Amino acid sequence: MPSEKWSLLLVDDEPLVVQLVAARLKSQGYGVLTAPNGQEADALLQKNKFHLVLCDAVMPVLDGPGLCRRVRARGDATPFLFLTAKGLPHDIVEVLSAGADDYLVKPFDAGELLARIKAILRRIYPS
Amino acid sequence: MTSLTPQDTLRLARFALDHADEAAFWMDDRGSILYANAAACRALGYASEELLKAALPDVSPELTPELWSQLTQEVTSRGRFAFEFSMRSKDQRVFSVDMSVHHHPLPGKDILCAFFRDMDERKRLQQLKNEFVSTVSHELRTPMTIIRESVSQLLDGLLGEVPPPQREALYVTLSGIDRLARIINDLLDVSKMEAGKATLHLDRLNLAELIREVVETFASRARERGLELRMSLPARDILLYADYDRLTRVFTNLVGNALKFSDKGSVEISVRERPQEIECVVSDSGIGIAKQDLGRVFNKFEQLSLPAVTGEKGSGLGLSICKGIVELHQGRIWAESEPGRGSSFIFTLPRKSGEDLFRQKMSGDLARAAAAGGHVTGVLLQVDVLKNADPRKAATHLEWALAELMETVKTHGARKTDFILMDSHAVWLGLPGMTNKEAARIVGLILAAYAAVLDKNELGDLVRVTHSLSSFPDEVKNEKEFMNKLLQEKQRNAV
Repeated sequence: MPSEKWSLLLVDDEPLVVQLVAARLKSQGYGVLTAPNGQEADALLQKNKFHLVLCDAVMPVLDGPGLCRRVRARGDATPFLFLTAKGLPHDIVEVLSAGADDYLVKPFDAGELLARIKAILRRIYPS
Repeated sequence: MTSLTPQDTLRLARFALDHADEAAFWMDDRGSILYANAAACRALGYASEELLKAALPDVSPELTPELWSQLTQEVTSRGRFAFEFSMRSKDQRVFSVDMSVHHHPLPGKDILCAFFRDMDERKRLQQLKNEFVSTVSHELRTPMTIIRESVSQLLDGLLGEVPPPQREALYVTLSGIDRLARIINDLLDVSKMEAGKATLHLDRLNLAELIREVVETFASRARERGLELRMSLPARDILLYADYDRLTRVFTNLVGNALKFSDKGSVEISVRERPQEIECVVSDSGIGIAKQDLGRVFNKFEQLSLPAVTGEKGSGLGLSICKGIVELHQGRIWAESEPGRGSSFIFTLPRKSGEDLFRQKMSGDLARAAAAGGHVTGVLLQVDVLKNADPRKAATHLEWALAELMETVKTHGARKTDFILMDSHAVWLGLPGMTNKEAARIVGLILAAYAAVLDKNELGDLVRVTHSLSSFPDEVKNEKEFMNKLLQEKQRNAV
């Protein structure tokens, strides 16, 4: 499936990170919507279908793990890839046990980010 | 020169004491307070006159008559006695102190001079520092992400063509950011070890195999640099309890350094087995370290003026991390060198049985529980292969049964368990803060799940698991009784 068919939701409270990562994703042909916190992301997730959520961990209003737990609680299995500034083992355990599918620790390499996105999409949506 | 009269000296001594940061007070041989300096009054929250009417038991919750007689005996026989102690301030706050008491006999009276320092304050400051390091490190990652991604987008041509000279500058920027990220990771590691928050995941491992894996990962780098990478290991397995990932890190850092600072010759990893410990040596034929620098190499951010022969710059924390890890394993690490001919980094790992390690861990937990009035329970789960099993398969059965028991424990008991260790016949569990009743319930869950595993694999008739529990303070009163209870049941069950 060409990447134009994929729609991604990018959630981060830092506008520059959102701007840069969104530009990178769009350059690869992904459709991207963005939200500055878990609360607004949750509203978007209830209205639209996304193939993947890219999500920061620490955010105001509703943080990443909180968003992920809320989404999982209503039976929504949309895959989550966390982009987190906290890389210690217990931080990683926290995001994974909140229902994340994968994580990358900031600062990350763009090549690795794109490869992980592809890997998740391939795994979750075969063919 | 100004001369001082005896009265001057006395007044000055009094002045100095009252302006010192360390708390000081004097007692008679019954513990009645005869003097307290300003720092002592501040720490305890009393006015000087109030303290002069008090005795040590009034400001110390744990001072029993037995402890007082032990203390006075020690002080009079040795002249000085230092210990960890808890004090209670006027507002009923209990805090721990480092206290030292000195004996000073005067004609007709025995005087004890005591000094103390608030340890909780020191711990609080240490914790504050570690939290600060952790927060700052995390805060730095967001701007680093922004810089890294902007530079990558320039380099990837997302924002138009970039001519080669500018590209070069951007590559340098990128490698600088990556180095910064490594420094932050290492700093977090060191800070965690300093805070005593790093816990070891001890496993029974074969050191020889670990070293072979490290050598394999460095083989191509050594070849590229024209260096020989050798191992000198005993022919048989070297089994010990250690944290696999962390120990790999120690070898990786040391071998990485050795390759970095050598431009010809060889790097060798060797292991010497001693009765009490295992000694590991990573030696190179590189530029060496000057004698006056040998003691400093393990300090944080201590990058000696020696130029690395090759490779990326490190974080300046690699050897501090090695030291932290080796010391967490209760070993020692040091460096030897002959400038111009090479260096050797040597570290030891103590040889301990599963029982030793368990005893050691429980000893600390029991002391804490005794001081704070808490509970500690220890559990020993032992696996035996029964006589009706095929003797040729007994060893395989035992190995399998132990590994499965370990898995079951991790699944059903890990959240409540602070310490899990497997040795050749048994699994040891440490459950600080838990009463016998609570622990017995968890052991029941583990055993039920394990029985199901055995049955599923048709080993229910061949493998037997026995358990013993020991609980402080419900059943046993001290460390010796604690261990005896576990081990006696082990003996009895083994018959």
